[in-house]
Amino acid sequence: MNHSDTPSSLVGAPPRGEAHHLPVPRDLSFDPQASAQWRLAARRLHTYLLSFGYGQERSAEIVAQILARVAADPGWASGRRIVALAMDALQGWFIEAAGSAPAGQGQSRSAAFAQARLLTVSPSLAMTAPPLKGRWQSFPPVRRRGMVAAKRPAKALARLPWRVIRRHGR
Amino acid sequence: MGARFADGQPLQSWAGPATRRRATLFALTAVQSYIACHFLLKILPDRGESGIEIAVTILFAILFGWISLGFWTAVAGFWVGLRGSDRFKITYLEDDPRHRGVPLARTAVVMPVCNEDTTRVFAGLRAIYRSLQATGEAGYFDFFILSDSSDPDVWVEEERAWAQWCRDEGDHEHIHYRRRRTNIKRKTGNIADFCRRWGSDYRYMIVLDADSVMSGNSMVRLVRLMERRRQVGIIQTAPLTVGRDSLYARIQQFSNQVYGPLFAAGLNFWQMGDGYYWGHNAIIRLAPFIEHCALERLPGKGAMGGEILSHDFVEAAFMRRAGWEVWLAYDMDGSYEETPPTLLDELKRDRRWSQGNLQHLRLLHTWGLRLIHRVMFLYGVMAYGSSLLWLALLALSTVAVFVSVNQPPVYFPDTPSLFPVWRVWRPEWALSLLGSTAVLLFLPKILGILAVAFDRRRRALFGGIRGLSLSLILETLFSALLAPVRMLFHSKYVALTLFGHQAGWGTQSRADTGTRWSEALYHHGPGTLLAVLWAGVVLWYVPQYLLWLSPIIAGLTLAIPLSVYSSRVGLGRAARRAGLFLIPAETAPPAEWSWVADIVGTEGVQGRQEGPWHGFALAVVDPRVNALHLAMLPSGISRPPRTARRLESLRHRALLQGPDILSPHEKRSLLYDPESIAWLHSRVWESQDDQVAQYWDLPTAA
Repeated sequence: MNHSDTPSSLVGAPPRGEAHHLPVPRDLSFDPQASAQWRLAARRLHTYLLSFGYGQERSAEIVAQILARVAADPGWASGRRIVALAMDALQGWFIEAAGSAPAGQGQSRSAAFAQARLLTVSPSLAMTAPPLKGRWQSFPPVRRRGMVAAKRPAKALARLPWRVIRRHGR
Repeated sequence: MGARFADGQPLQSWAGPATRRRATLFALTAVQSYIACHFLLKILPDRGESGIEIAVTILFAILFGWISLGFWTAVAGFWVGLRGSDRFKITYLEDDPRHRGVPLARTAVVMPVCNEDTTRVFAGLRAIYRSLQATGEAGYFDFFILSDSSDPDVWVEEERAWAQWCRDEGDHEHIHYRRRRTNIKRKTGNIADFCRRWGSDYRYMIVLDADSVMSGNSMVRLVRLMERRRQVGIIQTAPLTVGRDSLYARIQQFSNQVYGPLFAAGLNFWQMGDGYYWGHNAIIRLAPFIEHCALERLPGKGAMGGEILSHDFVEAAFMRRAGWEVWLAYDMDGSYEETPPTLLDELKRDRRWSQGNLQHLRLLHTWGLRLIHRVMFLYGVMAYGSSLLWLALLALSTVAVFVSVNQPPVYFPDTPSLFPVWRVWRPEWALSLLGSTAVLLFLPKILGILAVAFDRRRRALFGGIRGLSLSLILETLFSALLAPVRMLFHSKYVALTLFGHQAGWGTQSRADTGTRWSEALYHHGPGTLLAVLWAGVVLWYVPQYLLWLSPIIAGLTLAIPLSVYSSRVGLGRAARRAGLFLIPAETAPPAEWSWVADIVGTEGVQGRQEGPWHGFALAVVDPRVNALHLAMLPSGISRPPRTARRLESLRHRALLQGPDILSPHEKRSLLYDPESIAWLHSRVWESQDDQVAQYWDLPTAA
């Protein structure tokens, strides 16, 4: 994947406020000790980041960071599903990292998330994609006379029984 | 229009020579047809005195005139080629050294697409872009992909491919994608929408078809020619058909490249600045196009009313009516398109084209058109109408033979006469007439081969004398066998159109998938049955007449196996290995075409590597495509409560039952709704339900 227009701040550098010290495995997918929910969360995050275009290593790093966040969030202990929490944390991570307008500032969280992803993938595209505006130049009024038969069509054709060769006035 | 170039150089007027050439052409055609009819009347047993024979003679006269016009056009093309120079070709200007210094103007390269193969479409565009970059003049050109795709999967794929292309090239200024929600007036409406919104930003547009490829050099040449000749409204190139591997397509490609240039030069010989526009691979001056070429729907319902399907001929006629010239740059290289891969695909396309051309009957008396364009409308009508006339001629001839066999001769009619009236049948005269007709049909092919054979470089590119000769013989045999099949289908199309049946607007097949036996049986079975019955009846009553009908009967009887076997890619490649039907694009592929093949191959591999999703699922699941799709949707859409409820229930169903459960309409509804797409994206990734994960191709908990 071409990362030529990915902001350098995003590649390699951890987002602001990242908790590095938490003892969370980098990739829980293959850790038999981890619970099924944690493993699923890790695998989902990993797949998400891979399909976003990050390499294996970078993806594993980010997964570890996100899971650390989830682990630090008391929400999971209160019974909220870990996968949902992890995806939520991922949204926050993207929005923070891309520096796009956070939710509540004129846009929903999902819109902020989408914008952050677009900014990450291609900032230029995010600037120009929607919508392609051009100057509106109306067609001149359609010349009806240009389309219809003349006043005196050939008699032979006019006499043919086909309704398709009807005579039309201007 | 002044007779001067943009830089003030005097311009040679073409109007006088064009009139003389047209008069000569039509005179030759008329005289030749008159002689042939005179001969026919002598051959007929009653010498044209019975009603049936009069009808046969009239049909014969029209059809003979039709093939005679084609013959003389080809002869004119051959003569132009022999002379080596043509003062009345649009590219003649390029010989002037000052021409190379002419600066270019802003040009939009527009490609209207509708549910096409996205990989192929973008591969073609990328190749053109790359070729333009190589000219150093790419800054003058902007690309517009004008999508009318209604298939939700294709829609998403197009967005993805466009974004990928922009990213790969690092170009977000010159490559634009626009999709219309409502496909008003199909392709003409699509182009008109472009003209309304962005037309005033450009002086020219180069219109491409989904399978078109043009070299950057040819595009630059076109713009430069338009800049030099300010009275030209349209320059049409003569695209060469390339890129297919099926046997059928390779034969068509061979005939297009050997005989096509001859006919194109011949057409330019008598059309000059009153030429055709074929709808793609052409450059158009936007201001007069917007001013004069807006097309209204034809009044009335049925096949002959509504949108004009073959809009290109009409646009050329309107451009000319407004005083702008329309030229065919018949000798410009670097313009390519693809041919339908199978006979059935070509016949499906012809259904639409036949309706479009017949609609031109209604425009024959349009105010202000030039006579030559009215004639060209009729020329287009005859391209399909001639089939019906030919079928009628064959049917009447058969009836005439039955009548003459079964009716006792009258040696002493009521009119007073000193001598008995003998019924005379002279087969040798009939053979002579048949022979002269065959000359008109086949001599252009031989002239085409000679034109290639005289040129050492071209001859080698077509596989040498041996390959050329063998290919000519086989192509002639093949086209002779297919002629009755085409006649039958075209006759049906013409009849259906005249009875008001609309042709569908299906996407043209551009894949070498081949024809199944069942499919061939379904489409060609009735024709084969007709041929067998026809042959049986003739054999029973007038066995000697069967020989005359044998070319027709043979073609129709063999239609099914011909259609199936000619659609095979394996046979096409085997023929290439044997040196048959070779074309320059195969022996020395142009760079642009090699790039297309490379990109199609690479894109296919990349597509497989990036993830299991495609189409609608890609927009829901893939984080990048989802973000892109959301960005492409207009913001601030408010839904009526009822619609919002429907969408809510739909997205829940989509989440729980997967994308395959949704109809295209339902997918489209969701794709139009940013809230639903964003919601689905989050929920799909968050779901812990294994079933949901399987539906959306995500890792499960197991």
